[in-house]
Amino acid sequence: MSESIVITSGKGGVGKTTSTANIGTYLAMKGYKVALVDTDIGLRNLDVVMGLENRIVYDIVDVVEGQCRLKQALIKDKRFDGLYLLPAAQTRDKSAVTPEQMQKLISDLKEEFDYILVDCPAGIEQGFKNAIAGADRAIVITTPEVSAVRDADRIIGLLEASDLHDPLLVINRIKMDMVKRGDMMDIEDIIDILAIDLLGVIPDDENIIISSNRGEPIVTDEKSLAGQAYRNLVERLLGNDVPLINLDVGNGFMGRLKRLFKMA
Amino acid sequence: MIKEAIKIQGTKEGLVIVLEEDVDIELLKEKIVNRIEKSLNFFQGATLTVRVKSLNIKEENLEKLKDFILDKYGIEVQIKNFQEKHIKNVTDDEIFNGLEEGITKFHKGTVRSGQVVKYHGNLVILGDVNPGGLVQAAGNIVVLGTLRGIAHAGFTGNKDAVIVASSLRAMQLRIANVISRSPDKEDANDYPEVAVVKRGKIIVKPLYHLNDLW
Ligand SMILES: Nc1ncnc2c1ncn2[C@@H]1O[C@H](COP(=O)(O)OP(=O)(O)OP(=O)(O)O)[C@@H](O)[C@H]1O
Ligand SMILES: [Mg+2]
Repeated sequence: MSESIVITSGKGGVGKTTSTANIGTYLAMKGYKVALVDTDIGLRNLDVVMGLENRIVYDIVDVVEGQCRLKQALIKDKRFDGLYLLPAAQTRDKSAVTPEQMQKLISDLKEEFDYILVDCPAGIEQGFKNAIAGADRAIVITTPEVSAVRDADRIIGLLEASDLHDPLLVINRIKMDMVKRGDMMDIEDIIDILAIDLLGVIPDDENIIISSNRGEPIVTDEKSLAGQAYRNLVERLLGNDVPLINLDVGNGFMGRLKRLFKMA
Repeated sequence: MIKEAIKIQGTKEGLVIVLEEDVDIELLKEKIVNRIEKSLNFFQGATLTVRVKSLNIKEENLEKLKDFILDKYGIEVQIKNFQEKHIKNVTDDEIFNGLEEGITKFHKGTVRSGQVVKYHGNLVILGDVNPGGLVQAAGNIVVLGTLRGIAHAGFTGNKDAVIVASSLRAMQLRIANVISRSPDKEDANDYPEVAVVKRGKIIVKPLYHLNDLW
């Protein structure tokens, strides 16, 4: 059975594309057939983060307009079998695709793939509506900032209005030293406000930027803490019970995290 | 005289196959395979157009043919309706032939990500072409700055078109229907280079080796 998951946030730049690349890559490393779909038409990034930019000949708009077939536009990943990217068009805009076309596209992809991960653009306009059109589930990304959490809350409301219930939360860019000093918005407070299940917490790590620039998702780096955080996140997505990794923030904090996962 | 049931002809659309009647699908496959393998490089990245004249050819047979060719060669087949004008060979005025001397556009400024500059003649970019930018010309393309995006020369089918850049770091180069992509590990040179089609492949050479090229 296959599943389509949209990765969304409301606010821009909080880590949707990074998370799509890492979650998809690790699912493929675990042997699943995965299609990554970039719906950020006009501002595509996922191809760069995956290191596949130079392979793009056809894109999502060509597919929905019938210029080529889906199979032709899917770019095979250079590292992992079973991992494919459907790139966004760069020279068009969000209105080049409709939600109905997206639904059709996702259902076509479901015939071939176990997981379809849709990288959503920032905002709540047409691009967002397209991205969620064919989704079975949603992952909402936020950072520990009040403004990002506000936008995430807005998005969760819109998802529910579109019958996408029980989205999963990812809190990205947690800064260890800020948490230690008590300067960062608390994970517990975020969950308190958003009231959805926490799928994972990703530390702020400059290696994520370095690996994105190289086109190699950090999840492939066995020694990286951020990579481990993504691997654990995927395990939880698959329904496995994995504790949050120790982000080196002291007992009180970890204790509260553990309670959130009911494993204290 | 018996009319040939399958006629295969090269045109500017690529290969056009004209089917007169409902032919045996296996026979058709065999003929197409022969033709494609004779000149595989030519078709790489190209589309193959099949125009059907007969009304009794079965839809499902055409679908099978499409799948077969896509799986085997990665070539997309488009099924279209037959019109007499499509089987005539490419004429001179359809392909831009002003490579030595012909109309030319000068584009002033950088072509940024998401921008397209397209011209039915030769194209000179007085600036850079950034990643995600696309320049297309029916003739030659000359980039006086750094070419980091995609350049498509001879897009109406002229394989003699060239791409020249002061610094050639293109994501992809396309000449007529031949495509090449940049190597994944970049080793860019900082001298002018030229890209041409030789034996069905795009090759890149320093601009001072002109004698080897022409
Ligand atoms: N955990 C992290 N640690 C450090 N840098 C990060 C982390 N997550 C993301 N980044 C960086 O933040 C920037 C934005 O990330 P990304 O492009 O994934 O966000 P996005 O939500 O897809 O943005 P947009 O809304 O523009 O599509 C990138 O430079 C990325 O490398
Ligand atoms: Mg993004």
